[in-house]
Amino acid sequence: MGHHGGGAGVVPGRRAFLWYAPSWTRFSSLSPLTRVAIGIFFNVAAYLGPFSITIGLLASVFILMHLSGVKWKTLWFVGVGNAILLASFLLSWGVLGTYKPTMHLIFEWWLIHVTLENLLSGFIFWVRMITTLFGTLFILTVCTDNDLLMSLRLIRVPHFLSMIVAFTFRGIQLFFDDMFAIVEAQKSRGLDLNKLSIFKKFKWFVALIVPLFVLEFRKMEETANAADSRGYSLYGGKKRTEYRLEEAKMHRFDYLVVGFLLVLLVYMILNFFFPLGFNLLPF
Amino acid sequence: MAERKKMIEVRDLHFTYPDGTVALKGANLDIYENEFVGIIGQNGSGKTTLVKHFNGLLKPTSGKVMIEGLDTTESDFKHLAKRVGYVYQNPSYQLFCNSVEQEVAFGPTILGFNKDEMKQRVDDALGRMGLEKKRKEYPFFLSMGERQRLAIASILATNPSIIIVDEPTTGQDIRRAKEIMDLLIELHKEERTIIVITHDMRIIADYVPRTVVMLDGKILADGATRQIFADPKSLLKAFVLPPQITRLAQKLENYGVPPDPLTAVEMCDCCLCFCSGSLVSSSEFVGCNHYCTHAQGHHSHRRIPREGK
Amino acid sequence: MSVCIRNLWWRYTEEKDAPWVLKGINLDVKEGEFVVITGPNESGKTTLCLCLNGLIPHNFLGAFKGHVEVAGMDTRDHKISELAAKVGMVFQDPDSQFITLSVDTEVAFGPENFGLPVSEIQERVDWALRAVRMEDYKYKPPRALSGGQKQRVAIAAALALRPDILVLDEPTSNLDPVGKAEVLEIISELRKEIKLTAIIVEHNMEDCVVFADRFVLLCDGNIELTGSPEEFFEYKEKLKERWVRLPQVTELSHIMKTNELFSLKNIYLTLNQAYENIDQMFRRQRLGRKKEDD
Repeated sequence: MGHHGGGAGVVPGRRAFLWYAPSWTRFSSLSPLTRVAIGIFFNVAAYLGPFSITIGLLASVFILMHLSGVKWKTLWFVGVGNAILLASFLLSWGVLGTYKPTMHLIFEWWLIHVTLENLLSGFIFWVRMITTLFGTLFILTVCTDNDLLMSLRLIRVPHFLSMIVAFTFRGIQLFFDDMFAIVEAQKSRGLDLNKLSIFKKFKWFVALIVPLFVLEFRKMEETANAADSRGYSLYGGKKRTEYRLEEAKMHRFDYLVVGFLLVLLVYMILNFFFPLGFNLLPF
Repeated sequence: MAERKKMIEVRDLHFTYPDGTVALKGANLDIYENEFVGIIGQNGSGKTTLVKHFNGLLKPTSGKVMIEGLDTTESDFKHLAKRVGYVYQNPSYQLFCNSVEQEVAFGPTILGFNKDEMKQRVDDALGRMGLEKKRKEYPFFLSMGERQRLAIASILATNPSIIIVDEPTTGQDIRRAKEIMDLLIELHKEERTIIVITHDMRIIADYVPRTVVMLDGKILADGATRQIFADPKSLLKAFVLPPQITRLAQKLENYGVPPDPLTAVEMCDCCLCFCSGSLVSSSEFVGCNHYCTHAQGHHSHRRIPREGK
Repeated sequence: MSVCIRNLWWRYTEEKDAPWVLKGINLDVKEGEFVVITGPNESGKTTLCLCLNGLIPHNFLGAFKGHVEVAGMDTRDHKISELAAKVGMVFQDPDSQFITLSVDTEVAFGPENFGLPVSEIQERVDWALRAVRMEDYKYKPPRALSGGQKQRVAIAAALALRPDILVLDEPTSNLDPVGKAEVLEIISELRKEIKLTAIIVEHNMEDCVVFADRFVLLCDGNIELTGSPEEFFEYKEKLKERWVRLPQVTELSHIMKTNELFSLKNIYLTLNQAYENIDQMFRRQRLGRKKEDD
């Protein structure tokens, strides 16, 4: 049930890496390598180019994520993290930023001078950082663990490295699955984590970590045994085939997209060192 | 006769998992006070999904689930955990604390019992499950059988009126399986309502008076175990087979053998009766499913054949 | 000889004076044989399985004595990945042996490791999933599967390697009654199709006895009883002592043997056998009665 004319055949029912994301998205007709490339583009381009461009990038990545059908409500913890990040950046830039008398002073106390310019710098950096973050989140939303493995294989990362990466991603997902199972088991004993305050929630999560890790270590050992029993060997001389590699191959459209992004990136890098582009805002 | 209290009421329950799998398609079920019910059905028929609605772990996509008259969508977990104890198939997911004692005390602590009562309950539960000597042990150092007993002990400490056990005999040898089922019978005698999910038909035949058969998210059949096993066609639809002896008897039905013996002893009696010329029709067959006879108030442990042809 | 175990001793610790888990096991399994190992919990059954594909002694620390040869290879001299070409293994816990995040990659994992061409892998995946009745779940992740479904996938994953020897540790424990019989039937058919030797640890005697060539009773690290089904189930007391649950029809025949009315010589092992025998007996009775009435 692939997609002809496109790259990776994604079938309804498969899960993306972020478990709550829908399995088939508009981007599924692209090769996984292209999807990863898009995400990396945002990661890198966030720091190049003037602020106006970064805003444009942020807007684009939001649009892309929305098109991929992600449920924004479930990313609430990302929102919380971003808010904390913003607060800490504003605080650091404001308190520790260099003070020049030409700046607009907002607040002054002893040696601490909080200026508008510094706060703005902090804010701008924060915007760049969350663009990076959402670039990565985009990858996680539209790729399954197998897609990530295939994209590594497409750029000819050797087997043992790519398998380690694959196992890590799978391990993380299985780890979260187990965590949810334990949380559910505790729910059945009356512990409702949703009704607790943030601090209590945190305290319970910490308490959950120990039994979770004990469980995971045991499971990891058994999983490693299972992998060995099916012939997996890290340094094996045998050539390993990847059964979904065919679906993941790059096609013309993929090369177009990646090519376009590369050109953009090169332009932005050149612009960074030898500015010739225009700036919309005086930052 | 006084009307029995309805412990669990399920009305037209539909449930779809977030990834789109439709697990329950309109299940209807009533479970009354002090019943002992077994739920059977093929893998993926919705048994665990159904049962997870009874303690609020899952909320219906549509339909209603009432536990002791309370709608589960309107009660919080504490409320339901006080009434319903759920023992997982794999106890490792349930065990959580640093010592056996803490584990058993966990439930009562969450539910807000006072200290003296809690101590009493913990001692009772540990004593009952034979874990007194392992009080201070770390739960993951116990053997699998001990872990299962610990999981049951920690449920008992909260004194629930409904106990749900998910596949208690999987992977156990017959000795442990018997221990667990004997324990459940004891608990049943204490006026609790017990629900067991299992694939082991012999255990159902030996211990469980009422059986519910699930197929494809719905309740296919519901009734006395003996009657359920006497109808092989609908069971086969559900990918379930009656115990071997019952199937044997059903094959011999043209000789007048009743379709519902559940144990080898019963079957032997049937053969004796046939050979001595006094075969009994199924309506007169009392049966020696010893627990069921207790529940129905009979005192005989062996089948009493009626004489005559 | 497919499997040859000579005087196998094993314990999970190197400490001297610690108790041995396996105590001098001697076992021979011929090619194409279907052997069932049973016994009470913690008797060493799982440990014995782990010895058959090299996990013991390579992946486990402990003390190993004796000699284990599978498919002509000594397990001490060959790596697990080499042995995996010949020995397929299904573990007891369906959750922890699920390596990937989707059913089809899971089943394809084994063949991938051996560098088989993609078309062959696809074929094997489809075949294996059909054999365990899981073809509709081809792209599902493990969290969407029940325990029994995961167990089926594990069996499919082992089958996809087309091994010479298949070792299964309680493969039917999470399966529904029909599933239990199906899985054992598939394995039995494979014996003819690809000359498979099957070694199965089970508590479920009723379904096994139809296909098994030999039963082994393992208790406390020792093989206490071994023999063909007819021989094995004669030892009613011993089996009861060791908490082995006899098939119901076997129990029935043991009871019937004690009553002269039936004049039963052989015990019943399978449902069909019991049916044919009792059917004959009843028919004779009926004819006898008819003659009397005449």
